[in-house]
Amino acid sequence: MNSAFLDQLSAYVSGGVRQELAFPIGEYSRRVSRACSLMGDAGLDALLLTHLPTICYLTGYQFTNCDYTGYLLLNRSGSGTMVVPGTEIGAVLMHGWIRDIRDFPSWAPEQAVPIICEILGGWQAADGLIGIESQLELMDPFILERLQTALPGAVFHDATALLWSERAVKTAAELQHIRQAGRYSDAGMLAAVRQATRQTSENEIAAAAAEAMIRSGSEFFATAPLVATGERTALPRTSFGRSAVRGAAPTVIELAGVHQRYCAPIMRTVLPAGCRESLKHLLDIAQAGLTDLMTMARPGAAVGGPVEHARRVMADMGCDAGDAGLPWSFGHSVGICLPPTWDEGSLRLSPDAAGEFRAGMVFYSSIRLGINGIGGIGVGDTWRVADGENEVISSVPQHAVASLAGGLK
Amino acid sequence: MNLSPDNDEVVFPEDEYALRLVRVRERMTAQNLDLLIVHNTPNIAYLTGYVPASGNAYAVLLIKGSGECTVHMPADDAPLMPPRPWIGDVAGIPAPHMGSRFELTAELAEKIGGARVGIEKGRYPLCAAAGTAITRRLAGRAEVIDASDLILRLRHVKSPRELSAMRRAAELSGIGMRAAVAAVKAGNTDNDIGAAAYSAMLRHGSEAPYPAPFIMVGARTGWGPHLSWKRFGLQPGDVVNMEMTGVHQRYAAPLYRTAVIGPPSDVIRRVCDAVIECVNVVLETAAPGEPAGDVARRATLKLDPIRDVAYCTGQVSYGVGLTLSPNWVEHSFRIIEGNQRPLVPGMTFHAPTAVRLPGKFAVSFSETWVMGGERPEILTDMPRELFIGEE
Repeated sequence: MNSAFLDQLSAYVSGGVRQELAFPIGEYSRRVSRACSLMGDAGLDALLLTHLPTICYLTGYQFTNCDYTGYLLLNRSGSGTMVVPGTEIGAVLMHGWIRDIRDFPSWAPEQAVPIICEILGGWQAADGLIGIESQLELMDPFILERLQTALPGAVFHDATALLWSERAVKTAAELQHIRQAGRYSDAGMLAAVRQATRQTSENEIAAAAAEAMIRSGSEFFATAPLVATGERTALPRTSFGRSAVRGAAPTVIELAGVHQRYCAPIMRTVLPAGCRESLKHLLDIAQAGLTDLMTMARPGAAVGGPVEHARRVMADMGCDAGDAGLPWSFGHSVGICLPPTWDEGSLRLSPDAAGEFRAGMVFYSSIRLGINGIGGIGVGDTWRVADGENEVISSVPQHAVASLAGGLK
Repeated sequence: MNLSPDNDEVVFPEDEYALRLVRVRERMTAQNLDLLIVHNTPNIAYLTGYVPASGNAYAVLLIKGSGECTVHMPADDAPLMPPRPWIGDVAGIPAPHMGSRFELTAELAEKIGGARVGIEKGRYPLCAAAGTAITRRLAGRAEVIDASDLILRLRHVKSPRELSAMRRAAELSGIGMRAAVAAVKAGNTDNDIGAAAYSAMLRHGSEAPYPAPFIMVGARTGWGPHLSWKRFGLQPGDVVNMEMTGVHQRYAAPLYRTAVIGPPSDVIRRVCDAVIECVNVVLETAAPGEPAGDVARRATLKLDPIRDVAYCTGQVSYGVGLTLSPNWVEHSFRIIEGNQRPLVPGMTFHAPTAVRLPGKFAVSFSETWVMGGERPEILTDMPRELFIGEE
């Protein structure tokens, strides 16, 4: 059944039906070529990729129900085959360049194993060094054990980080998508702040944000808007839960618009008139830390240095290991996002992070500080390391949120 | 910060969670397991009430056959773990040590001990590296077996409170779908439909739905079921597929409807009639004790008149219930030919029948239903018909 389905859809593609490519084919060719080069450097005979954002990066394929996967197999010459649940054949063709597609039932993932083995065998790689993303979900022990049994001569080598360095530096075309996503985020944040001033509920705020983002063009979210009010703002990231916005309680809003699967998260806090001075002070500390990081992160600087500098700035302002809690992580790289997260995973901003900043890297840095039993604040921006002044993607500055909140009735 | 027991974020009362743990331990005993290591976030949510913002958040629940259990999770996230009397220790991983979390969990498992240890080898989000860390650490000390289905099989059958949550979720699905249908008109975009549905559900109290509503228009519907809005305009003649779920207390009750802009063609009407008949057979004839495959075989016969033009997977229902990002599918039970396991009262399903004419259009209808004592009870409530949008 599915081979006939594939044949019919392939005919449409061959006949020139419009696909939904996020980039020209040449961009994907470039990415695959770099992947092959990195494979060679690592001595890999083939890649067996399962992390859906990685697959999206190399092929264009997008998926929504990302707790089960398809597979991208790539050999050293750049030939690629996808092994996917049958329901995904069309999406593979529509979104990307892969034409060699095999399918298996989504409810019988073990049936992918002999297909993968056959492909690797055809590539003379059945006894080779196969790169897998073993540190990420979707390459699970169930499948790996079956692959190891079916291919006793193969060595499955962790290649989780193989493409991280490539993906960390964004091309001009990627930046265009990120900036567009940022416009959606701005629309969502403005709508959310307006709603937050109306003393309604977390759900009303999230609804306003989502509606504004989607109507302005955003695709489906990797993570739905996160909205917390009152004491819930002192919790770690948690989603809206029908809580009412009351009185002078803080409201923390975090969201990310999406364009061609690229995202630009942002987080802001609404502190109504009459809110606690301690929360205002925490917000000033968080903003100072964020601003310092985004200023100090220069191309060529070791990542840990600006992070430690930002921590010192915050500590000097009174943020310590007590209730407010000096954060360890100051964010992560962003780019392609698929549910359940907008975290690209390629680079973390922490004092012990390896590597250095390079122009073109894009990060989402967010700081949340809270006081148990009272509440918390949060501020976050998507920003780009540049040769000149670093670029902040959002155009809704935190310092303007107060006036936005106060000026809108 | 610990949440007080009467905070409305505590989803189910303590005795329900306690009963779930008792049942897990009964199954552990039946399988001679001394220790069960749970990575699947919906399973952890089922047992503890823990709801992370992201379904791949690192959290591990280590359950011994008796006594207190241990949670291993980032220290920063620990305030989200509801206090349970049977959780003895929330072993928080300091942020600087998160890079070693797999090894740390494995060390903890070794410390807790047990000769026979179950891990959920095939359950999201357990990755191969985390599984290997446990297996290597316990090598020579314990037998590590696959326990992917242990908790999942308990989740098949819903309690009265779970069904209450699903009924509310079903109401929210209907609210979203009605808003979506109202937005199906020429000149709008698929984003307009998605925005209407998504915001309507949230405004009426839904928690974050995952996946987000699937909204496909025109020829896109004929390419696959897992696409969503992407700034495409609606034109006269377009078929529109809409699938979504409201969420209440993290329980889902999905719903799928199809619309067309303007009068449907004969082929669209023929396909719709066949699909609706297939869904009707499931909802009107499934019976407790009946093998699931028999229901699927009987229902899909209704698609025979359109098999010359349309494709269908043959699955007519799949288990739903508790949902975390990124998916509402429970991965517990499917009604499809070949599955001869019997239907049991209390099982809950989403019953989409979807057929695709490749590259042209697709039609799908569904309901969420529970296997009652004698017959299915439909939880969702919306006319099961082809909607006509304005040209």
